[in-house]
Amino acid sequence: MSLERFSYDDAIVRKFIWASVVWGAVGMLVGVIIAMQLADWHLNFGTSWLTFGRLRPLHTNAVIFAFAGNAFFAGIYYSTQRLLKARMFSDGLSKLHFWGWQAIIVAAAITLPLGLSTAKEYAELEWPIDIAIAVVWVIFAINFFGTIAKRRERHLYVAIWFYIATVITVAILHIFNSLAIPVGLFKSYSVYAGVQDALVQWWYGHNAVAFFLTTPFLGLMYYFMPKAADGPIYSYRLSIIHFWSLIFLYIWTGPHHLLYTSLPDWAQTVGMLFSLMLIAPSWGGMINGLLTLRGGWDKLRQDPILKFMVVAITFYGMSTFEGPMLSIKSLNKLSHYTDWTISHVHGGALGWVGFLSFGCIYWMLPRLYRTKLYSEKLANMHFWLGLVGILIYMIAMYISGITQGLMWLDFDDQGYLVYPNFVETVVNLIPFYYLRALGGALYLIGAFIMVFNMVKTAKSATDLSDQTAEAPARKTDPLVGKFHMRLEGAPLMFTVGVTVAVLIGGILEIVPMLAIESNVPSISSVKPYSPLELIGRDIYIREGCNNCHSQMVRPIRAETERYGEYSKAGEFVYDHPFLWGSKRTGPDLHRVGGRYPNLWHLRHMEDPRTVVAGSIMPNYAWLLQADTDYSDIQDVVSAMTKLGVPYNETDIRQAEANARAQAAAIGQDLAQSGAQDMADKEISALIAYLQRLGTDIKE
Amino acid sequence: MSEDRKVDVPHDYDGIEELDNDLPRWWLGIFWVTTLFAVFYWPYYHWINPQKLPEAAWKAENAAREAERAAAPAETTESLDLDARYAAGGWEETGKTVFDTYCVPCHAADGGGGIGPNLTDDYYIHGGTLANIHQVISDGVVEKGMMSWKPVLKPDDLDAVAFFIRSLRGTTPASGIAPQGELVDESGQFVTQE
Ligand code: HEC
Ligand code: HEC
Repeated sequence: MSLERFSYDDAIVRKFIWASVVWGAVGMLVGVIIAMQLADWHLNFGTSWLTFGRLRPLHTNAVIFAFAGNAFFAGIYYSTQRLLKARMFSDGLSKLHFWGWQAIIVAAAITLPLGLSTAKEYAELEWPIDIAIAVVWVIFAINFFGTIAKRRERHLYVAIWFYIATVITVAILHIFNSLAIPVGLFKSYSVYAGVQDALVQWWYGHNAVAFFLTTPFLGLMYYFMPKAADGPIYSYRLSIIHFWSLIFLYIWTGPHHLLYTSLPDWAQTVGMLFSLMLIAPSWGGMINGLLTLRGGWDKLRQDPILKFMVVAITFYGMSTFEGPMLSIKSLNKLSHYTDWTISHVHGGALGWVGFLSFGCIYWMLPRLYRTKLYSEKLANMHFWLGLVGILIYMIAMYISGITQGLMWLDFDDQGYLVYPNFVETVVNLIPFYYLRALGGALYLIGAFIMVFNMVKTAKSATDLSDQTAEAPARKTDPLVGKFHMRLEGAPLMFTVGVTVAVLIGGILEIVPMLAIESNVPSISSVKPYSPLELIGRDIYIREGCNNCHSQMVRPIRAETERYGEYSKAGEFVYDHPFLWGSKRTGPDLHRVGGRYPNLWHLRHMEDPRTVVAGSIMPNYAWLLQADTDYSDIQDVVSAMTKLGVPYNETDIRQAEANARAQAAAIGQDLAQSGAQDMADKEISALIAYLQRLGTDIKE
Repeated sequence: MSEDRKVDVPHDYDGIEELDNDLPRWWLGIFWVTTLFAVFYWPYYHWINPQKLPEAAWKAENAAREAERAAAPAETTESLDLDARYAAGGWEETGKTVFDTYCVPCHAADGGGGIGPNLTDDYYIHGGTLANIHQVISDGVVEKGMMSWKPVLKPDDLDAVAFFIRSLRGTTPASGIAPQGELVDESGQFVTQE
């Protein structure tokens, strides 16, 4: 059999690696900054674009899409070529993919601090960037499937299965969650409203965890772990079962982010049960990864790469057990909206994704630069700093999460809340917020050490030419063996199978929610927002208030006592997008309307501490200075009508006049109570929105 | 590792080998237990025990807590003899603590007012008798931004803060805001001008 000679594109892998660590360091730095802001509210220096609400999306997007994304692109480009025995389909597409992705990240880094946001978690980027993401993803997909088409090794190794699932599912999730109606270049409104928007968002959000932070990394694990450990994968049949069950079950689990909300009960139960069933499929991956090291545990002591990988897989196992536990409704009642969730996420992000990426990068580096790693000692130091950092981080957040959760639910023996004053439950947490920032900082220092180690290693490179390889041409005789073995030789069928598996859950959950009216019982007193309230709502989104405040009172006595009547699905039918939030750093705001006088809100937004001692909410003093922008309110109202919000012709025509009139009334009330000239400032629009929240059902 | 089964198909996965060991039993156990749990949980929760669904459970919990409140010893203090209990004293400390915790943001630390009215002068919007004051605090004036404190404060605490407010009348705040409402007489009744 004659061998064909070819070379691997390693330059593109090097590029992705550098992008990953550089953006990673930036993203983690922003993380440490916002962690400090919760410990000490001064730390945004009174600058709007440095406030927590705007930087938190920057942090999450940077670590997910820039750090983790570039890391697995590097790993995929490295391993796919070698597993398929082929150079990437097109060097040009590889470059387009790389530069396109970096351009998207730069756009995100500029627009998010400016407050251009859709408010949907991990999908905050505005519509032009969303389109760019879709285009770049398609470029990646063509390049990837093109490589499969010209492969020399006929069968697809399990790592490739996971990559296929990633490429297909991320595209589906991104497109359906991002559907929106634009108003101008920088603003858009989700086509879904309220409960439906929430379901679609968390179908996306949880599966971003699944198909952006899990499946690609499981693929990397299946390639790099046996390479680094120099041992065989434990069980092929386990990989088949856990692969298919994982991708099939994962898609259903989104509603576990919406337990006890206005989402219909059936959907909540589906989310909880599928989450529980996901333990075994997830652990299948852990078993296959860890048992690769069977008989070679002693290697672990010397090799920092194996340490990173084994700890990563261990964190994967822990997170995928903790996740299902947090999906159990009675535990979720306590944990939801608290720092416990934050702890959970960071076990996955810092432990699994971060450490696995580091392990793979340390492994690839000497091979990509044909040299030795500059310093094994520094790599070990990175490992220990990182590990201690994660542990401090997670323990601090467990304690603060559980403490606050219990305080929220605590009743005394006379049936009254023990801590009716929300801020009392906040001030206790400050020491843990410092501790968390310390943990994050240690992890960040580790990452800087790695960058230094990488620079030194790259400098000692001997040869940057592409590595060559040879392999026989792909066989063409009929596929033999068991069903799955044959399927592995038929990429098209395989991909169709994956697509079907991931679509079933999505369709069975979302379509009934969109189509069956009884899922959202309508409430006749619920009316669309006034134009000024819409402007206020956009300010709320711009400032990212939803990153600290929920708007969803759960049917739990402790909440109805604290906030008022629990939220009903029918109250959100005009909410494009929904703003339920996922974290209560501050109190729920769904029933805040009418609770305080306008002047209270003005003083509170100017400096929360003048009315609530001990508050950690940032100052929003600029809202009292900035003029309200009424210029596109007519377009916004008319966009809303396209989404089915029942405004009539006059409403649209008179949108601006209405907004100004309502603002004047609020301004007059404020002036009477002592704050002059506020009518046309943004604060009045925001107050209009806050005072409206949750009041419709009172009538 | 002699019992390991290998996948024997001539692949070249860049040198990576795969064994074909059986699925670990405990792993299969988790799979089956969680799946069976799911199958049984649905009918158990949704059909057999619909009273456990969130809204029904909320109603039940509410009823239980209301019963606790009703049974609480606070019932003994009858608000009818407010004046006598005000005169008897003993509420000063509690009253001040409650005021400092909840009322200061709007009425200022010394009662001089700010977002809410000045509580030290002889002018009241809702009347200055203990009964008036008690009622405003209890029911609030929600549309004006004074919330109803009955759900938050225990009956004893509510009484104490009402007494405390009454005691603020006639004190001199550092910077009180202008009087709102109408003049009241010594007893707190509105002075009706003809
Ligand atoms: C860093 C987190 C954070 C951000 C961002 C934030 N808040 Fe807050 N907010 C808090 C905390 C903590 C409290 C509780 C203490 C207090 O009342 O100030 C609070 C309280 C509030 C309250 C009082 C609620 C009540 O029932 O007493 C309102 C209203 C409010 N915030 C509105 C906003 C708005 C509007 C924004 C965006 C412009 C915003 N917050 C952004 C943390 C935050
Ligand atoms: C959010 C701001 C706010 C808070 C907090 C607040 N109040 Fe008030 N309060 C007001 C406003 C505004 C009014 C005036 C209502 C009106 O115009 O009818 C008022 C009126 C009153 C009055 C009636 C005064 C009059 O002239 O008749 C009393 C008494 C009172 N408050 C007591 C309290 C007590 C006691 C607390 C704490 C438990 C408290 N308030 C907390 C805003 C507040």
